[in-house]
Amino acid sequence: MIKALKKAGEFFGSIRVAIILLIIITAVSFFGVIIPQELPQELYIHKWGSMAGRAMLTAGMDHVFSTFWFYLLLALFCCNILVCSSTRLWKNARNSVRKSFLPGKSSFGQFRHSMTLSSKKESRAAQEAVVAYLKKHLYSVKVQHGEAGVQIAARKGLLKDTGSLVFHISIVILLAGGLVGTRYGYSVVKQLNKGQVTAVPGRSFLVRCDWFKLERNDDGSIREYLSKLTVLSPEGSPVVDKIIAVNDPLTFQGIRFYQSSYGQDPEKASDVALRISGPALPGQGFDGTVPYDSVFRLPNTDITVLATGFIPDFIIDMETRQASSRSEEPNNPAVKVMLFRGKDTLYNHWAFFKFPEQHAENKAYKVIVDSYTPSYYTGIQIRRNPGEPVIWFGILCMTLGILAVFYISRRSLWILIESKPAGNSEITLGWTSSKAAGDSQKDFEKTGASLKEILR
Amino acid sequence: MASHAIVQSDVEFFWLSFIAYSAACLLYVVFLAVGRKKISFAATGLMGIGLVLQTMAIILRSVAAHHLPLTNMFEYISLFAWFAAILYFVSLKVYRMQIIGAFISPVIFMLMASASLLPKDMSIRLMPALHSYWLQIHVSVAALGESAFVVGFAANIMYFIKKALPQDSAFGNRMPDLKKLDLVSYKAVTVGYPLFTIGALFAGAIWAEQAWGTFWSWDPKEVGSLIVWLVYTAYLHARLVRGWVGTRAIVLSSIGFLCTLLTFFANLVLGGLHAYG
Repeated sequence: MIKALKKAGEFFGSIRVAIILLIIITAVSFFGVIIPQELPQELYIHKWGSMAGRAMLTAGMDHVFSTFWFYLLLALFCCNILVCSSTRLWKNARNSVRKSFLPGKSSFGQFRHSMTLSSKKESRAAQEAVVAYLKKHLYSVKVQHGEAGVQIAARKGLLKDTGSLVFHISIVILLAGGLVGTRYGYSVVKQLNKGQVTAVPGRSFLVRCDWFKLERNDDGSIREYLSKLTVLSPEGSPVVDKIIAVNDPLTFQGIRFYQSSYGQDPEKASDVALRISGPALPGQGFDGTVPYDSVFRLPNTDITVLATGFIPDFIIDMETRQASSRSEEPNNPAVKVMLFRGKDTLYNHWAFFKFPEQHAENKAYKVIVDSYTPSYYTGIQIRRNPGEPVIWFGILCMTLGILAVFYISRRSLWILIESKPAGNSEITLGWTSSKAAGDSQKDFEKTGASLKEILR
Repeated sequence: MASHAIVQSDVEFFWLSFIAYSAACLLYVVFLAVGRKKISFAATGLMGIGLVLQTMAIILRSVAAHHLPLTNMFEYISLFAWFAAILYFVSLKVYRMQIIGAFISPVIFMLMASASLLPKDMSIRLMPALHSYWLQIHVSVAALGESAFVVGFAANIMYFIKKALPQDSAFGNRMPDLKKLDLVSYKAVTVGYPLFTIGALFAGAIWAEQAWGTFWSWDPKEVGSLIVWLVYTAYLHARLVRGWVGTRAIVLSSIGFLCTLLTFFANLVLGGLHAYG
């Protein structure tokens, strides 16, 4: 029973299974790219026919990457990596750090790369020269005195195998971080007008949009869009504020606020440019911009103006005299302009941006509207991702791991120094390297030649 | 007006380098047919001239646009070709096989030809999502990784041709032996794989987190890059652990390269968040 389990575990952690899983995940991903994802279900039936379309929907091909079987596949992949890491990769990493000596001279025969040198130096001097050389070339060196002679075990690039272990485990870390994020995090987009306050899910603080600004290039294309956000305490007092832009979010207590989009509120304007004149108005009259939906006192007068009730596509019901909008398109934008002195209404008419002269005057006043600035709202993505630190850690591990695996090469050198009766010595070298065969041979020959030189 | 003049000259340098690369490609073909050493030297020289001219083009464009030219498909594909040319000279230094040029130059030619068909307008004004230094890191490191895959693929093609030729054909003898080609192909992947992982996947994910508020969103180009990564991962495991060498390994790494090409052009066809130009 235990034997069978062990065997199953071995199979499960094998490279063969890893490669099969890689191929399956690749194939699934491929389908996830060529089949458009997350569309309305009817479209799949329409495109692939009733039978195939329904089968695809049942299998979840419209949302491949969030189906339970895709998660299962990733879970299997993680298990495979963990089994593989805890057995083979762990053993490799451990062995690469341990320095083992060879049992005897005959073991040197097993190396693909080996050579024998003879030196006029006696054993002790030869040993010192070799150790000095190896240390200079950043090998970690261990020496053992045995019956056969002095044995030196030297290694370099020990982090390669550790890197490989870290690299593999970091895949599991990354997937775990992703899972935590999807499972326990959230992401919502809120549309905020200027001055609007919104609650933040799962937190007691609030956030207010103080303003939103579109910056344009000279050709009219959008260069940047910015929102000033202020975090408010539950009582309403400001805590932090920041001007956010695309690529520059605000982070507060684990919640991140992104500038994600913007849009135009068709039923509002942000200000109106108009001209007011008439016999009853002292001086030159007024020519300027007034804020929308808020009372504005005309300079040097006791008259106030209010522009309100913006309608993008004006239509009026002749029976009820009720004004409304035909559409959200600014086909016939209109705004109601009112003038007051104290409690008295002096003027109250619709003003039309496309037909400024129409209905523009009563006996005493004339109001001409020139233009209006559309009212933009800002789209703020509010996101909490508790998996984020895990993902950062995973990225860090995987980067370090991958650099170690690909840019460090492990070299192990075993050297046996035997004393000869004539006072000289014989040196046997054995070499392994993680490099490809040709390069490994080249390295070995180079090292051998250097050792020969110093042992002369 | 001054910047307009520079724009003109950068595209002119692009065309000149395209001509030099094309001529190099042609000479390499002649070299394959005739086998004169002198011809291959001339071809390599032309490649070098092409590289210098293209470097000029890239510098001029960067100066005029005030940012590295990585913001549309024309700029990206020419950068890809530029890296491939640089890596050819690196491989020349390491392996001393001019004949690799005969297989890289057609790829460079095709890249430059497809770049030449695309609009070459310079975007001085970038859309807000591209206002980030991650643009430079993500795009250039990913392109460098992918160009290493190009070098590997050139070696794969040579492998297939050499394998298909009868033994002792004069043409086949001009090529390096199969073992060496297999090694070049493998080495190119070991250079490209870490760069691709860090540049395309990680730098991309970090930037996506900043700009779009999510590390990963299963966008077609993201999944495409993941597929490339998975295939090359399978290749490395098959080779390093299960000892795959020769034809089997070459086929697998060629599949990896075809996926790279598909992903490379995927945003033009499939749209998604990477559909920037």
